[in-house]
Amino acid sequence: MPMILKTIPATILLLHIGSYAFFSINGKISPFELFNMMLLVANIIIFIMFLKAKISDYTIGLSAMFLIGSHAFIGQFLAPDSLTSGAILLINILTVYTGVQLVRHLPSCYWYAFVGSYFALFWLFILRQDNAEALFLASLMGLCAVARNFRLMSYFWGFVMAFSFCQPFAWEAAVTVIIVLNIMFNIRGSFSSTPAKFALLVGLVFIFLVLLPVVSVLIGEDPRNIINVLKDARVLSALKTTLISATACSVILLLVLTPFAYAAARLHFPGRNLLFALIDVPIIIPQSVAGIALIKIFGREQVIGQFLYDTLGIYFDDTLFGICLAQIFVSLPFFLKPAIQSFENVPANLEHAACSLGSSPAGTFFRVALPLAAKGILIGTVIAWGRAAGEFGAVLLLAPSPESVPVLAFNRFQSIGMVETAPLVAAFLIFSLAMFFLLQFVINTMKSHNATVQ
Amino acid sequence: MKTLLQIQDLRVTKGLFSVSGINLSLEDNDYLILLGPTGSGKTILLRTIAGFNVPDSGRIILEGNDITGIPAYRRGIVYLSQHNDLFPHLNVYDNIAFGLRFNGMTSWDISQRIGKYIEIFGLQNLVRRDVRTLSGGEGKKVMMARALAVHPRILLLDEPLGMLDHNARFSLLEKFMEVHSKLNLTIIQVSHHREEARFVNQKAAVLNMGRIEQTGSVEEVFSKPVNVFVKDFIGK
Repeated sequence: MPMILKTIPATILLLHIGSYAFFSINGKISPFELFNMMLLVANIIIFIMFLKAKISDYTIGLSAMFLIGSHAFIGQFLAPDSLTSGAILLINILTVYTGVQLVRHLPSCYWYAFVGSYFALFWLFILRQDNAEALFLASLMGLCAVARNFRLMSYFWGFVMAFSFCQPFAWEAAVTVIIVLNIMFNIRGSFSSTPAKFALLVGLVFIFLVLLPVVSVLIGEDPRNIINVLKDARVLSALKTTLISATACSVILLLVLTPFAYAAARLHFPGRNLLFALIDVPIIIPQSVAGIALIKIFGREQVIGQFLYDTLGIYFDDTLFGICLAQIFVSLPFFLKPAIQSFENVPANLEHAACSLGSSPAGTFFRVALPLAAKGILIGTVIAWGRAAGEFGAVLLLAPSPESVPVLAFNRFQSIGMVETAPLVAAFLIFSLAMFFLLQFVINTMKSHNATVQ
Repeated sequence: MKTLLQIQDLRVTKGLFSVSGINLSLEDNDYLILLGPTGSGKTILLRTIAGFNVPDSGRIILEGNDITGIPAYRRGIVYLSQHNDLFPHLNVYDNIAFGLRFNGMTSWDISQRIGKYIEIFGLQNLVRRDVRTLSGGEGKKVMMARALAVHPRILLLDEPLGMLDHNARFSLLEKFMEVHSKLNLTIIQVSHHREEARFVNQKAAVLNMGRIEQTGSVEEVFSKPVNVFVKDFIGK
């Protein structure tokens, strides 16, 4: 055995004995406590084994001696009692054993990640959280179990971080982190590079933060409360109002503006760009302002509103028509933009070919342009539907009754409070998301025809 | 032979470029190759005959009727652009049947009519295929079958062989000549390859800077070029 391997254990042993004597004389430790004596005896035994060359793995032997020695006095100040200190000592030795195995069989980055994780956990549970030893021990065992695999290790850290820092939303955060990590680990394709991955990660985190309220409303509510809310007649009638008005709104947009979108995409006329800019106006106008503007034109006392009432018997204040009108106003750009875009994406030469084969302009529209643009138009319709169903400000001003769901949620929130409104909000969220995903699913199963024609 | 198409003093402007002073006369069952360098106005002329460009002046007369103001879909002239114009939402069969579907034909009649063209172009194994999976040559054949199925008075081919390799080009050109003689078809084909004109060896017209420099049979144009430009163009 080389000389150095005798000197190091001897030094550690001497330091151990020295500190033992020093702290005993100072009165910091009681020299005859069983645990302290056990530590000393254990170190002496290991040293003797070293001398007799009975130890096959020097690294583990030395580490064990070092850990026992340091626990003999650091443990005095950090651990609340000797039993905890002993448990941590055993786990530490297990950890070192795992670490040594790692450094022998895996690339060195695993070793660094492991050591770093150990100290991070130590800081997190022993120093920061003021002696959460049980958690520290449990998480160390977890660390030893996952240390062979970076992916498992990052899931582990996702859990640990979520439970340490996101306390009231620990589960939500943990699930989110695991989803994000799963996406990051499954990146494929020739464009995957570190900057691109980083950009993706930042974007994912940001999007999840934005969606966090939605998730928490969905997860945080007792399903029984949601079911109870759905038995409320007022809620049911509000759901019906919203469903009917939003559907009517998107059907009207679809029927009236699809031909217009085609014409706008194909024809060139003065003011075309100005018109395209004007389409976006409802997006930039605040909803309340839009509501007031609508009242100013279509209110029953106003000229146009009066005229419509006198001639057609339709009025908009506090009617389903009013809700529909407000919804059409705000959702129009969300339908029109994708519709125009998808007609523009239909290659003009296909329509020329159809025309040349004897197809009339109307025939060409129905047999070439419309089928090829259908997917984009339907996506626009779905988004417009969602926008219409969720419209609050303009509806509140023009037609606060019959009550639609957003207005009902607002009224409840104002009169009763947040806790009582939460089940209603959750119910409406589930309803909207279900509709949205259903429609998206239908659209995604449609055949896509893009990316073909040069 | 009787005159099928007559173009009188045609002038078309597209942006800053104009094609002018075009006089052409085509007889039934002619195969005219429009030759000319890039940017000489071949495609504009062809698209004007098809009805996609409105001429500034001049007349286009088809079988004695002035069709200058008639929209493209009622002219009975089929134009094949140089792009892949197959409808991506339809399969090969429905693409070929496209032009017949609004004439009140029964699907039995349609399949009878189309079967002939599918056979001529050897497309029997492709009828149910997604058109996006076809090769360039196959796509051109389907486009030809689709055009012929509507029984056009004149077929306008805009560089139909542009993106094909040498062998595919000449075998497809042979196919064009075959249908031309077999179906008594009138074809105007745009090309900037003099070899194609030589190969077809019928009529040719040479365009330059928006004007027709020379018309006549291919032999005539190639042996007696009227000016330096034509001589350079066909001799290079």
